[in-house]
Amino acid sequence: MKTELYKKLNQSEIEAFGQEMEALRLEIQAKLGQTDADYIEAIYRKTRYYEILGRFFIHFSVEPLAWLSGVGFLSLAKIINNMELGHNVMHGQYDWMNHPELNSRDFDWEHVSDNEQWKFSHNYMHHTYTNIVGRDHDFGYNLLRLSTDQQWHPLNLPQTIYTVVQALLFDFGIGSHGTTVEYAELDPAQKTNAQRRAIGMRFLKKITSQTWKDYLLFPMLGGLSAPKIALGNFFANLVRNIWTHSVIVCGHFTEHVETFTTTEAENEGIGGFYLRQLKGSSNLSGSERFYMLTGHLSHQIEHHMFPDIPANRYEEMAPRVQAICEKYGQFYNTGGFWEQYASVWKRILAYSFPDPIARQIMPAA
Amino acid sequence: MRTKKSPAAKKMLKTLLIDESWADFLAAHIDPMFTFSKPMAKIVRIKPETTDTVSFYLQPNRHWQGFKAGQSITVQARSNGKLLERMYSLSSSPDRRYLRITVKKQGLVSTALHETWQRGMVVPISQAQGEFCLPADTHTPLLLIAGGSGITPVYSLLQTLRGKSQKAVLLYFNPTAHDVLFQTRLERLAAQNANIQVHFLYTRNPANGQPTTRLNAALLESLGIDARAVLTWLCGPASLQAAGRELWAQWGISHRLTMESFQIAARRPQESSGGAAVQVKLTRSRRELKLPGERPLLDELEDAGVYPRFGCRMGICRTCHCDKERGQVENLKDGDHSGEGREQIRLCVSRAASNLELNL
Repeated sequence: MKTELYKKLNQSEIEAFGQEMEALRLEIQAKLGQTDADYIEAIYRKTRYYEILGRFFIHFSVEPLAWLSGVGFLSLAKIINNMELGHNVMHGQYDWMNHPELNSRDFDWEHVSDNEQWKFSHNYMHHTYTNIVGRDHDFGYNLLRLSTDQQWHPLNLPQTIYTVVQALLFDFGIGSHGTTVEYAELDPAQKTNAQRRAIGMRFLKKITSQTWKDYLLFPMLGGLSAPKIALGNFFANLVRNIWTHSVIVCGHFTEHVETFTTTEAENEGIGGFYLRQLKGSSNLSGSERFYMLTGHLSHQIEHHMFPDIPANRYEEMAPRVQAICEKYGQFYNTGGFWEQYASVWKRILAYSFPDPIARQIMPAA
Repeated sequence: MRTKKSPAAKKMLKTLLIDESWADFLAAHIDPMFTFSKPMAKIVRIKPETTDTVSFYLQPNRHWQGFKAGQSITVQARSNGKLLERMYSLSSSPDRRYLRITVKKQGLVSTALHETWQRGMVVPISQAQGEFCLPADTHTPLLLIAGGSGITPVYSLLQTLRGKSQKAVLLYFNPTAHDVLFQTRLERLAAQNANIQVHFLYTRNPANGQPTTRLNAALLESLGIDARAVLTWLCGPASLQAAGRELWAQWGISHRLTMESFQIAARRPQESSGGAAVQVKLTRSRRELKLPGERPLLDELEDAGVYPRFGCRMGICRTCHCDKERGQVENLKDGDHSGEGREQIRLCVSRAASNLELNL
């Protein structure tokens, strides 16, 4: 049933599809310059000012409304730092700028996840092996069953509850996922206890610096207001977790997203690569501000096709990508936030049961 | 830019786990000159020297660690979103409060400086670097040869020789009389100091019906200069350097010649042939690239969509330092070939001479 959405292409059509996408990528890459540099620097300043405002209001508020606005600003600061700034900078999208801080080697984000571990599991593993079951650790995060290509097990039954917990603790989820992936991808000969400790230590280092900042340094600076400040920072982290989780699951876990086996992805060529990225991703439609707040993961398809093009360009590339998809009879998976988010929960619920029941809940399974 | 650390403040920040760039960001709202360890400078005066050359007078902040005459600093400029760096010799004397760099508009960075630097702006600078400094020997007479904007470090050297007994002769080459920098100041230096002599020489179109001159044995003879009896400092364009290098080598006294330049002397093709002769494995990003192996690795990597950090792009500032795990590279500055094993290379002056593994 799902193959009707994506017209089956022959070899030469797949190649032509790939070439058109490549041409688009090179076209946009040639245009990169001052506007992109100005954009990301403005985002950098924004995260800093929001953090200053957020912490200021949390610290100096004398009644709940002001405190809440502080939590709001701090949440925004963390969200933008993690998504529009961090995720995109660490992808190397702005490396060409030769900026001393906003480059993929030096930038460290306000997140418990160690940036080197994240870059490995995300930039390399997830983006190279997108949606290949067994290779893409991000598909289900080794926690959820989301495809018929994954065997059902009774432990999948409560996975809706796992998802809720994961959403609330998403920063730690990503952080520990990074350590799992780093260890899992080691050569068997290197899988020693010493390595496990070293990998864990890197994660612990990050946990320490983030915990210090939000739950020790700033509360201590507030003296007797320490509890109010720690609580405010806690809620800001929670809001960031829930928001980022929602946006990210909408990228690969919506109803019509497809998975691939290793054999299917073998020798896929450039055209096959673009097709896999298209079929494995889904977009969110909304306003420009919404796009920025999602770190342009609203344009998951464009991001997966062109991970090192600065994310601010995805909006202009989207209509072109859509046109090429239409030309080749390929479904362009997009929808409003609530629509896509609901379909994610449907998918999680469906696959918590064995396939026959799954298909009752979600026909596209 | 490599900057030296100011220990106490930095240690305090590190203990508190506060990011230095955050601290600088906050401090900048009070005064951009206030940083925790980064040297910054305020542009206090902009003086046009010739039609295409401008002097910038800079007042450094408290992290500036001073300089020796003949040294240079690295400054930054933005060009189409990209941050570029260039080194410029300090033409001021070390005993002054201000620093002066004299920039000729001839490339991306110099043009950006001319167009964007305004009075009152605070810009990041590096600490002083370079070895184009006066010798410990204060008796042997000095021969200073400068060409065009190469006068900048030489003028700084000359100023420190004021009132000293050590003799110095300056040969200052320029295409025409219009290109001469610091003419009045140099003439005054020569007039007020018995030990300093200045000769203005023109290679293309001199004034007053003088003949054109080049750096050669005849010129030195006519001026009564014996290269073997002096220590020579030379700073100028590639052609002047080549002339100096050849002459001094001919006389077997290359060790008496010290040179400075901010252009890579090695000629390299600007366009790629598009070949794919070497395989380069990037171990950290897990990519494998096929590169032509003709131009510096930095250029070829950028063509392939990989953007390592860079600075001066001429093998001096070490920003592009990278661990080569395996393979051989050629240093385009001096033609040396590296070993096959693990060593640190500068991507901007290294050419892939074999298949490589880089820690990138």
